[in-house]
Amino acid sequence: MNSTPINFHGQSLELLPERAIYWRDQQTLILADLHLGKAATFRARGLPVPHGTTARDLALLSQLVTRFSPTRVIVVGDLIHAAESLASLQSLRAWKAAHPTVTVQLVLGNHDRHIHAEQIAETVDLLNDPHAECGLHFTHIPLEIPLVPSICGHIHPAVTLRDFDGSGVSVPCFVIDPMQIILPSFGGFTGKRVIAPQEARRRYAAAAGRVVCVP
Amino acid sequence: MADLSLLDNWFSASGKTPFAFQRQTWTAYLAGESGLVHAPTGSGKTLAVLGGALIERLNETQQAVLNKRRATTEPFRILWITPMRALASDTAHAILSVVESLGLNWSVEVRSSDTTASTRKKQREKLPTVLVTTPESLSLLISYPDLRDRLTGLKALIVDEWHELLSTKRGVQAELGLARVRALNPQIRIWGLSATLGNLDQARDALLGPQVKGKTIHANLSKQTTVDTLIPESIERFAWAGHLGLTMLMPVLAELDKPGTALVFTNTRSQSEIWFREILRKRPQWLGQIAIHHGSLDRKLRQKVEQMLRDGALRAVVCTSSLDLGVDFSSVDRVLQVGSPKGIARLMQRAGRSGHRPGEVSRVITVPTHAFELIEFSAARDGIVNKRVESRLPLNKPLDLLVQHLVTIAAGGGFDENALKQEIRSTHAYADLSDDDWQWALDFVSHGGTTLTAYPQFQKVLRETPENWKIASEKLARMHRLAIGTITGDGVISLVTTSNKKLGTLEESFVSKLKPGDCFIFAGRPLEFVSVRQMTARVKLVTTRRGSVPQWGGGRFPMSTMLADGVRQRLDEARQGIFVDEEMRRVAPLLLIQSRWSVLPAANELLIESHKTREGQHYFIFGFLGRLVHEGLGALIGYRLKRLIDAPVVATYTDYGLELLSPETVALDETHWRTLLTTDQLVEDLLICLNAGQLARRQFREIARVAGLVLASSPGAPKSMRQLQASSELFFDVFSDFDPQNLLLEQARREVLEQQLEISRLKQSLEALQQQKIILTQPEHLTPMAFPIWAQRISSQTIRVEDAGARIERMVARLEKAANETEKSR
Repeated sequence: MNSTPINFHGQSLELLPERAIYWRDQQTLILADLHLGKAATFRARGLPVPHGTTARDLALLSQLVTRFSPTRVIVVGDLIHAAESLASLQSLRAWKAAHPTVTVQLVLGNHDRHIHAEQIAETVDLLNDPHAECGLHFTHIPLEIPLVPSICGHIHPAVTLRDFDGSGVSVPCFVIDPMQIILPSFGGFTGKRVIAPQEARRRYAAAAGRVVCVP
Repeated sequence: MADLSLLDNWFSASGKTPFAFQRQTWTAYLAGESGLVHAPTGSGKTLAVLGGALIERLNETQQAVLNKRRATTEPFRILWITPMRALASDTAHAILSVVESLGLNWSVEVRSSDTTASTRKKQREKLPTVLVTTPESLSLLISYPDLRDRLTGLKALIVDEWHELLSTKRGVQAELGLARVRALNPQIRIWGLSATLGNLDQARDALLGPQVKGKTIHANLSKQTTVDTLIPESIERFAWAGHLGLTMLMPVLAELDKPGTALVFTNTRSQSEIWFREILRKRPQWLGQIAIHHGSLDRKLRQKVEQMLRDGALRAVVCTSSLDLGVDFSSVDRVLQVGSPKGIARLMQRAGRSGHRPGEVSRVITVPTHAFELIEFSAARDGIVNKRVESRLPLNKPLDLLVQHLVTIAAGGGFDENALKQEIRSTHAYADLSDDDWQWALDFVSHGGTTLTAYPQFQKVLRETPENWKIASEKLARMHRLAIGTITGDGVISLVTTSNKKLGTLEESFVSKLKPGDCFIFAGRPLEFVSVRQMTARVKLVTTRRGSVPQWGGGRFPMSTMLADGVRQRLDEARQGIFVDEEMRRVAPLLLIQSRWSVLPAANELLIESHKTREGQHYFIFGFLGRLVHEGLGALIGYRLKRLIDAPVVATYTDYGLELLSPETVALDETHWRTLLTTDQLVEDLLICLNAGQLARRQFREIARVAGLVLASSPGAPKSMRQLQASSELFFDVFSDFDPQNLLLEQARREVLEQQLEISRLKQSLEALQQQKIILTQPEHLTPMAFPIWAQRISSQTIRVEDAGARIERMVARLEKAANETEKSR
């Protein structure tokens, strides 16, 4: 398996090329920014994006579940994209039915404001924001100065890889700061933002089936 | 014979005689004909095309007295389309002064993106007698259902500076708008105005469409153009490449010291900012006497400069192609061209900004920014003298514009599919639109793609019956109107001072690199960046002299094949010791270095220089075929080289040649090069290049925007649009994965095949190269000819011949290897 282990405040975490983290001790997959139903939102508002992106994201999640057999999945925000994406919760329900042993937990993100608790009560357990566990805080939006070790998403981080001729190409990455991990977006139909290097920051590119640290 | 006397009288009353081409045009117009008038700027072309419509109106009134005091002006009659909004108000003034002196109670108004919302609203209620507008604003006009009826009653449609629009998507947009107007007014006469082109009759046919037989009328005014070059004192100290050319600042200042008004043309907005700043630095006393003009400046600033120019109140204006066209500045005494104009026609056009009146000599002073431009000036002068002028080719059925137009028409009151198909086929661009492509476009706007299942819940245009298609909601119509327009722009950010004064626009990519406190120069003023929010960047005026100059993308012209041929000829002469003019004599020492370090190729020789640096192995191939051809050759030969040596290759191209760079060192002999340049397997190889490389992906950027997939982020856009932001890259990927047959992807491939990888042109070029004798050299240094190509790579005019996934895989693998090695050494 092409995962990269890191130690974050006493917890061993595996960074996966599929843009997720596996927390083996807790049998937990951690993801951020699925933006399920984003393409459907576009279609409903007159932009022709083909069908299939949400199904692909959920299929990828199934693969991870098959590989690691986790007991739960924590999503640190932005499970869905917009009000028009609520229909995709149906796909998530079907996914949950196919994986009855896995609990899905969610810290709400800014895009999740359209979700009513009762709509997802049977599929997803809502967590507090932040959710604290084993000394780690799970929240959606990264903090400027995090005071407790946190795991978050929101910004869809990316890093630029340099080629021999000096040109660059950006790929999704994990940002590992001393007090904070920012996950890349798990959803396939999402944008990304290049994150600059910084003192004591490590950026791990998740691309081409590997996770590698970019100096 | 039509009665032209009314206008003849008017001419003689003002002490003038109409030119023959003007009377010819009036007669043709009055006979119900359409056509194209070929006349240089300042030759009375406006009166040529307007005259017929004026006589027609005057004859209607017959002997009746024109009542000037009538309360309301006459109804909508003439639509005038201009490629640039900067031209619109001047054109309107010119027309107004004519109709007023004829005693006609006409209103003449402008409608462009510069027009205020209140004026636009008033125009929607009542159109003026003459409306001056741009192709985009015409599209917008027909997207309002209530305006459709008001367009009937139109007598004449005039397209100014048609040569500027001809080979662009904006030109196709104009064709579609014209077809709409013609469908509503079958009797309408359409007249175009064009500067000199190599293919005037084709230009006329593109304007009128296949069903109309039109006339081409030539002004035949002898216009003399002289080209003088400011010769650098010493070529040895002169830059070999670059685009600033400030070495020539002092001679330029000496020109500007002379009395009268000068236009200083530069090729990019950044370059105009730099020159403006440097001129003021050396001549601070000219503050207020010199101005800057480019497309990113706020409308008010531009208009102020234009007015001062008209009043003769300025010593000089540093400008870009924003002042290439139209605007009648008879007060301009001198024109300077900084850097290569890249085409013979463009240099003629710019020269024509001086000596604007019939019979006067147009003079342009050319300013080289690097040594090889001396050769280009010499070749361009030769082209002007021998009347070799480039052609511009019209575009063939861009589907992105078609889908945009379908939504425009749907928003503008809906359509009948058969009637609209006929209407669209009446344009030159879509004359051979197939039923399949048409059906696809209808499918695309009505349910997203070819299959219903692929696009559930999609809503844009609803088909109630085949005769009745309309926009799904008024909200979508509003969104569409915001997006109309075909000019690709990076995200545009408005630039506003902290006291709310509008300065103009910047590109998102530049703003994203700014930190608060950073200083930059805009419109010649030093500014300090404060913040950016919702597509608006706030700045404050400061007094610092430091600061970067903003970069704007796009806008670099490729050198025309005709000029490239001219350059090649000059080099061949130089090799034989013939130096025909001062430019060539001055560049001689540099050509001598070239021949010492490598060779100066003869017309029948193909020079390939190989050179090794820390970056890897470079091959410079000097084809002298112009940038567009070199781009295609770069993709093809780059791909073949990669296959041959099994190592990554990146190709860089300029007007003179191309560079192939690989990190692996490989020695190639003539046999290798012959194989790389073969026409065998050309189509197969090109298709692999197309599919593997990044060319189609890059081309898709503009297509996605025109087709309305990527919403232009603009300050006026509603907040809810933020949830609809996705890059063209993302669209490209999602279509490739889930709807690979999508015709917009197909169009991206087709455009690449027609533009960069045009097969017949590449085949011809390869055959021509095959005829040449291959000269291989291994110079120790980058030669004078190689250096500019090498320097070009920095500004990233490169092509990759590697699949994006494979490239990332290779880079990641390399990183991993490096990481493992570091690990081991610990």
